[in-house]
Amino acid sequence: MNRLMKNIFLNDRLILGVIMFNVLVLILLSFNELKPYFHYLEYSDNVLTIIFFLEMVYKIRVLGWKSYIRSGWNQLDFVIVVLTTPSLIFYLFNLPSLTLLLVLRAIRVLKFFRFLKFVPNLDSIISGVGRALKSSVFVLLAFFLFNLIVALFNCYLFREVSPEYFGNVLKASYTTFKMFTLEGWYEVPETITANYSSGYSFLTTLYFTIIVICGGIFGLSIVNAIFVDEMMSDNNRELENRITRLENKIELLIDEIRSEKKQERDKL
Amino acid sequence: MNSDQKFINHPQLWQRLFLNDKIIMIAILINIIILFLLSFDSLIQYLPFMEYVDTLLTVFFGIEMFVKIRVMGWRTYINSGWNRLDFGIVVLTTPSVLLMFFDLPNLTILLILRALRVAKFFRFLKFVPNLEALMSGVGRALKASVFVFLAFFLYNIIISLFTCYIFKEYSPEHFGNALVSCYSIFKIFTLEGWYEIPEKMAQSTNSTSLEFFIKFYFIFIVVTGGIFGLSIVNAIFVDEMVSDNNDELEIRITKLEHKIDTLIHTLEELIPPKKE
Repeated sequence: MNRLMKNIFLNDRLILGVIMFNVLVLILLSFNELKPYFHYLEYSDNVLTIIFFLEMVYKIRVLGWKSYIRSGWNQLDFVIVVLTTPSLIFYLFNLPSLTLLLVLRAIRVLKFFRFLKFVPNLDSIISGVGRALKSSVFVLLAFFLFNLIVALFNCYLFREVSPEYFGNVLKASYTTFKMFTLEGWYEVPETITANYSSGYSFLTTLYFTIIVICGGIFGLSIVNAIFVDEMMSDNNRELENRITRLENKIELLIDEIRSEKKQERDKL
Repeated sequence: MNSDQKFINHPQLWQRLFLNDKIIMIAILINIIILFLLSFDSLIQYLPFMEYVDTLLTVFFGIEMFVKIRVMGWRTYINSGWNRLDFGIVVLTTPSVLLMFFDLPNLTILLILRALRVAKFFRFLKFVPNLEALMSGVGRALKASVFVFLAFFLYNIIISLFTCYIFKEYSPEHFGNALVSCYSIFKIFTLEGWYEIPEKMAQSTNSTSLEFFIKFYFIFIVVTGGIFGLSIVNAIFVDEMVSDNNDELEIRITKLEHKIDTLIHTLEELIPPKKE
């Protein structure tokens, strides 16, 4: 019995197969045309959720809680089990809230992330991406702050003229973000200046152009540049080490020659 | 002048015609012009003539392949990447010759066969200078980014399924099933017209909080997939493309190391070891 459990739950390939089957079920569940089979699909999804739950319990029993939770992948599995198990409840009870039901259903998709473990070479990618994310967190923060400041400014300037774009801070933030992505940014000044005199409309257009240049062109370029920079930052590390060794050797050589000269001078 | 020629022992005169790179290039050029002209409906009166020339050139390339295989032998022929390309093109385009002799019952196959003729265009690549260095860079980048693409694809599917379950009833035109949802999410990742989706969805609600939930949900997708995701793919490409920029520097440093090592050796020979 124990051996059987071991063969089932500690076998990575079997688990991969189960995940793939689950993903297939989740994809099929999204097609309304398959409604007559929804019953079976929901049933198998629940069975798979239970399997993942049992897998977690078994692994914790075999490894012990501390060594289980130390591994990053196990942490991911644990969180996924904790988040997906509640969806079993609405099989037993009738949920009063439709929103909660929707959220529980959507959360099942998280099981997908277990796939990541089976992507080869992932560690090196993640370390590069991690470095990039770490250094871009401040840029992201600055970007967010800049977005908020510009949005507030816009809100006070154009609140009366164009309530549909800048009626309150949230609307203004959304419109400003939209302009930063460059998508349809020109629609905003063109709608606003429709009833303006030519002098005002020139100034307004200029104002929005500056926003687009600062946020859309510079801002996005900076984010991009930081990613490239961090990804490439380990390209030169080996070369740098070799140059440092060379420098040390040359220092030694110079010291040697100097001391030799000094000795000769002393002899004289 | 041609790398193939070192394998050739004594080609006959007519065989040399097919082994000459310049003649082949001219044939490709003529063929491309013909294919260009064939796309204009206004030239319909010359169409039979041009079709005839195109078929002749297809046959010409077929003969070229056979001559090369006979002269070089199958193994040497297929070892070269360029020959493999030629072989693939001949295999793909020869069926269109059949069009001259038979009436095809199926219009779709006819369309595909016609379109496949354009594959001959790829033979031009061989005559692009510096292509090898470019290709090796692109190859390295593709190899490194294949996993990133996989991860990106997976992320796309996860987000689409998640969005599908949440907004399926709300906006079936964008997220009705997994396939439609995948397409919509990919569209958002490319940033093209991403705002149209949340704005259209927000139109049908009076609740301000739902409107903002929708808008900021999609902003999250744009930031993680469109801005970060594409930046990462871009960064990995640039990283791999420029990774041979340091090759020359590495060689120079190796030379420097050798020089300093010889210096140390000569000094050791000149100066007797210190007496401690």
